[in-house]
Amino acid sequence: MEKEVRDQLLIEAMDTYGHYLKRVVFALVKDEQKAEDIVQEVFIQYYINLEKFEFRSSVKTYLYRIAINLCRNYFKSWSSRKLEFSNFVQQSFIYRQSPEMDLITKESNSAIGDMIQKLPSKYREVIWLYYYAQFSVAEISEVLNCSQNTVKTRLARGRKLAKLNFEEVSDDGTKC
Amino acid sequence: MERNVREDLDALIPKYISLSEKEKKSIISEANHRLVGKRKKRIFVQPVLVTVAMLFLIVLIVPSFLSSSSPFTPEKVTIPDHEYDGLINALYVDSTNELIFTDHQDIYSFNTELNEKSVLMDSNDTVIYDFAASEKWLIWHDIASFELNILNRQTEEVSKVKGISAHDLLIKDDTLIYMPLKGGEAEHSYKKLDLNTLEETTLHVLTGVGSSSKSALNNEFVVIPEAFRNDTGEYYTNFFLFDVATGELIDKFSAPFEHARGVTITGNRIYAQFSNGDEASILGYFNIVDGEFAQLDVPLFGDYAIYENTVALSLPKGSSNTVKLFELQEDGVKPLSTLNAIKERLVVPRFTREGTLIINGESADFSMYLIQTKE
Repeated sequence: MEKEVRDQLLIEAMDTYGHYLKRVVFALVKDEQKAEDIVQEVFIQYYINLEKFEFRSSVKTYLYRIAINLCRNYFKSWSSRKLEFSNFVQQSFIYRQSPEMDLITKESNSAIGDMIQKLPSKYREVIWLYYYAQFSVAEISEVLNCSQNTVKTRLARGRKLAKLNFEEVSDDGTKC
Repeated sequence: MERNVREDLDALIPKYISLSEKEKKSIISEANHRLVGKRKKRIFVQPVLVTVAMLFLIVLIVPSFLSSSSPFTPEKVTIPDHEYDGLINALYVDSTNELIFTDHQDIYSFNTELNEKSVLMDSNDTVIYDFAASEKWLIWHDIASFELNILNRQTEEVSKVKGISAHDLLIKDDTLIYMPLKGGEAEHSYKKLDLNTLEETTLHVLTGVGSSSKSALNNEFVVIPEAFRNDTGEYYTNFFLFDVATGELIDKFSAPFEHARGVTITGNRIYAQFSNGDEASILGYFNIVDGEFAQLDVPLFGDYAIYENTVALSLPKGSSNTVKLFELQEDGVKPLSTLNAIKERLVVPRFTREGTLIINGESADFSMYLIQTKE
């Protein structure tokens, strides 16, 4: 593939999906620098693997799938666990200027945010993908590489834990 | 309804978090660079592979000559059907040979002698991140209900402290030391809670700007770290040392570092991984007896754990890292061969107060390793 074509596809993907992708990644990892690193890696992977990308899935689904996997790898690292504790302590009585602090403070100040921020990551993932990135249940199952029933169960349980007390109707007409 | 939730979620993220034009340019540049690098690598793949293989052999062989034979033997523990996420926070109770862990909903015990798993607490609506356990007590904070739950494992009675967020839980006999956060409180503090009577006393009021570590406990003292900032904007960390039984402040030690991570108290010393800004960390300690600060001469490390004279360090290995064991010698360390035969990456070393080292492995079955360092 010609460099110009490759560059153009990358620019289009970044222009179309970059803003929301970075915000979702930031919401999941709660660290601006890490979110920047992950989003950069997502688009680089897309660029490098353009020849292999057969457009069986949408570009959006493909980008989010890479992003979620990178976020999960990050959560497995000890550094993220340190940050988790550090953020918790900061939430109580530390540095008020950072974007991470802004997120935590805002989440704490809103009932929904407080609950969502504390959800286990598997529930937070589906809530952000469904409500914010506006994926369907079928698309989320592709992003997360799990069944649609698993997505529905996680959405239902995530909503319950976050006290989002309503039901949504999914693409296929079933409640999720 | 969906629109409102999206707006709610959007409001949680600062508006300036976006993919800037500068970042896009940087991504294009890096992507081009990586693609070119990848293509070039293919040409040199054979010589590179040979070099990597030779380096790998050197890395494998040389340390085995340099390391001392180890007085310790790792015990491999495999807990089936549980995710890494839960096992990585497992704690060990020496007196009952139990690994105790949570999948954030239920709490489990795995007896390492009998290889038997049991459920200590199960519930449909709990969300658990902070918990602590001893032979007698199991304590967990449920963030869904904002309750601290205290189970007496001998009587099976459960007590609750309602309306609080409870963190940094440490059990010493029948006392819990923890940091509760209650709505409307102007100040935060560490408390001592009598687990039999639920009588609470304040141990230490927090006045600093934060902390990079949880508190630490040995059989006599608890040390609470706090970062402060002076008039010239420089950070420093104070360690407040309390007698657990009396609650009396015994001493205070001050270190000119913003971050003191992994605070540990063992053998009359308070250890931490100290750093300022982006500088590399050092492993240092305060001698409780004379208040002197000293730095240990150790290889470049990521994480550490220490118990008396045994040190576990997470060291670089290729593009990743793994845990190696060392013996403390004056203010340096000597490598031990204890973990050399373990192939998978080892992470999150932590010691019990009785000197058992727990390490998680990253093999397919997520086996863990226990190493008794004290008879």
